[in-house]
Amino acid sequence: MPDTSTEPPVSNAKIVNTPEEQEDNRRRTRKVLKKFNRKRENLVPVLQQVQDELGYLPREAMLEVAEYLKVPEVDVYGVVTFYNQFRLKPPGKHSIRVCLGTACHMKGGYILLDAWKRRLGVDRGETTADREYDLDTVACVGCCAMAPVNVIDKKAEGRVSPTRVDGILLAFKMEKEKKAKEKPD
Amino acid sequence: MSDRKEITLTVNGNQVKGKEGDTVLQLCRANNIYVPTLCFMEGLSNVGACRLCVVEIDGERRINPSCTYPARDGLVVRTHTPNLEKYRRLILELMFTERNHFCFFCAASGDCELQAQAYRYQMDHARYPYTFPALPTDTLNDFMVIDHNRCILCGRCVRVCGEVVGNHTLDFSRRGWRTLIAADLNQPLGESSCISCGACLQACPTGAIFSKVSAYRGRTSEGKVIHSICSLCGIGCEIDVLVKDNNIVRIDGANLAGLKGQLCLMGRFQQVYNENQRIITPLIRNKKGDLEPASWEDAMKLITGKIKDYKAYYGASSIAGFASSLCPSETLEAFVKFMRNTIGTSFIDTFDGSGYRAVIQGISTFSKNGKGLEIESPLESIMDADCVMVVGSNPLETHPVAGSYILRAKTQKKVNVIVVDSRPNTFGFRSDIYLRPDNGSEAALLGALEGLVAKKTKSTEKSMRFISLGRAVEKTGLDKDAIQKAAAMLSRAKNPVIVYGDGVLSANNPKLIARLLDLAKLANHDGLKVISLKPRGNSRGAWELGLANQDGMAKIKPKMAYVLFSDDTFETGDWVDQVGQAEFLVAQASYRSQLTDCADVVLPSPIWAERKGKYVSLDGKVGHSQKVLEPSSGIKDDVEIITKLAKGI
Repeated sequence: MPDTSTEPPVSNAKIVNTPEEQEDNRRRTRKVLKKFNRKRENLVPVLQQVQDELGYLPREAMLEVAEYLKVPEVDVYGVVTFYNQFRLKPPGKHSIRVCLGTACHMKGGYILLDAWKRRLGVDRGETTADREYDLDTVACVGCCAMAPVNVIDKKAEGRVSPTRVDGILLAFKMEKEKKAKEKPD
Repeated sequence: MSDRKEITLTVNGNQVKGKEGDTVLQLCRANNIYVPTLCFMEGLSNVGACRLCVVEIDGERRINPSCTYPARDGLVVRTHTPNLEKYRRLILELMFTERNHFCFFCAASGDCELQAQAYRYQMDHARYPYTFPALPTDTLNDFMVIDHNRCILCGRCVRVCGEVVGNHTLDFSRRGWRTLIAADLNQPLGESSCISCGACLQACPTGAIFSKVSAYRGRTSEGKVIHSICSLCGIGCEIDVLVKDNNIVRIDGANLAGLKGQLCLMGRFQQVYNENQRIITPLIRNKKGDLEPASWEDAMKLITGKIKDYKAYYGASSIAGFASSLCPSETLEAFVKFMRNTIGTSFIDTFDGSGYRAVIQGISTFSKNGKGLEIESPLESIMDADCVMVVGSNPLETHPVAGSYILRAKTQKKVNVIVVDSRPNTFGFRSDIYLRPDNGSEAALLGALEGLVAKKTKSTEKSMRFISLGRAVEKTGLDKDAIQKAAAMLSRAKNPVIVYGDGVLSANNPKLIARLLDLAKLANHDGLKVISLKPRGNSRGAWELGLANQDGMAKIKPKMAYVLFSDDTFETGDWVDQVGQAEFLVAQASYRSQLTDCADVVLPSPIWAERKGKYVSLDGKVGHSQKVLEPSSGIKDDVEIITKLAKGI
């Protein structure tokens, strides 16, 4: 069965911003808001620019936007969840996109998605608690001959097998360790 | 409305008349042609979400939802062709398979519109596989549960929350078949900006939003629905009470989308179930100092004897009477007669009497021509206002329905709201300007506002002496700009309304009320518009009966006190100290409370549902509440008790 769960994006991997981070997010949101006047129709452009600034839309940023534009909080949330371009979870250092287009689906893309979910412990649209990886799906990246395709940090990996998931993760881990050795803090 | 053009349509082969601007559905309903609906609700905007009301219209390529199709002259409409019925059944099957609609576990079964439609279309099975989504259930609100598994996404809750209550807590999140109703930033309802008024619950056609106090206690068809009015605060909302086996199962607003039918958490939920211990027999304090049950004869004899004793020994003025203005006018009238004529004392008061004296003194300081409460405006004037100033009140706590009038005006008509309160006030965060002067300096602030408004509007009305801005800033500790901004907002408005509440009434400051009236007069050219939010359901009725007229009532020290407490809740005020000083205390109350615990004789009293009577709303409209429940055998009507006591003396 393809993954058709209607579960809301509630993750076990809770990412909680510290008060300092929250204050920083609020400050940066207010900086963006200054460029706009308080009109309801500015909601989408405001959210886009806030996301450009912060990488995602944290709760505190949405609250600031709602208050500034004088729209109900739930309207902001409704718009943010309606459009796929808005993220509610912070991006990880590495982005993992599993293609679920027709060709990839036939070649077992959903098995790969399951493998990623298990390895990372997060659902689609979520980020691991250490903010290393974020997992999401895409619908066709245009290289169906290589199906099943995963896009890892904007680089397409073709003919991925579930065991390849471990290989990719291992490579990232080794890279990280190497960097830590080169630059010991 | 009468100037709209009359149009004629053909519906199912019959000529049907209507007015231009009606939708096809409205026209069908008005002419007794049934068209099934789910997302349609009288008084809300039409969205055409459920597609159950589809009709065939000649000249249209597709079938169209009648609730959003404007009626035109000469339309030919068919509402029940086999094709349409097939389509409606398909819609129902899709709804049933989309989420979890298994009626036998559902709180709404029997009162469910989706279920009723399924019966109507004899839907014994669905041709599609069930998706069984595992959706969350939100149970964190004290009174309501949202079960997304039962939701059909008709959006009635969303519209009622935004359009009628004006709170706009609920809306859709996500999209397509993943759509879910969300509150605020996807918080549980109990942690959101929800005011728990329950309007969404009443609007919900299925069991997706249901009440914790009414669930599984009975269907509408099993009980009796009694139309009455809510007597808690002075708004006088109309209620439909569902009674089964002499128990209140559910309280609904009689007309959800209308002005006085939306209810608040107190009227809708808290009255259904009360945990307090009822008093069902008369109680007399024995020699050990405990209250023990006694017969009516003994209790009455003791009270009449004591009244006679105190009257003979100290004089009639040693006896004082206090009544709750939750009681209907008939009871209060009997009480006044009993105290005044039978006993002969003039010391009678209501629990909120000090507020009344402040209002009346304020009005007489202001106008000096003997006018009373009639100078206040009807509650509906909030809806026509273009600026609302709320002074010393959080209407969402004390009078939530009045609060939602203001919110509705604010969200729908972009009416400016100013809140002035020296106490912390959460309503302030929903307003445009929230002024928090230092305690006791409200009058100075109003005086400064008067000066600024008079200057801006070039008003020549006679008024009290203004207070300079500098002095007001010094006294209130407020920002100069904030006061000026509020004054600008008030003077820009053509029809501002001032609403004041418990903060002003309990301040015991008639001058403040006079200032308020003065400011209202200066700001509004059509005559002043002021509404006071009186604390109890029949406060105005009690005040008009002269229960609270005495000046200097606060100074008297009665030897004996008779308190008609009824189902009121314990309050603070001057009367508490006065009652505490009395040697002999008679309490006529429905529930055990601090008051009955220190009383010498307690008489049982019916609760609101067990009595009928006249109530005067805070803007002077008369309403009649009905007897909803039969009281248990030991409980007698308040009027009956008082007349009996009067006969004994």
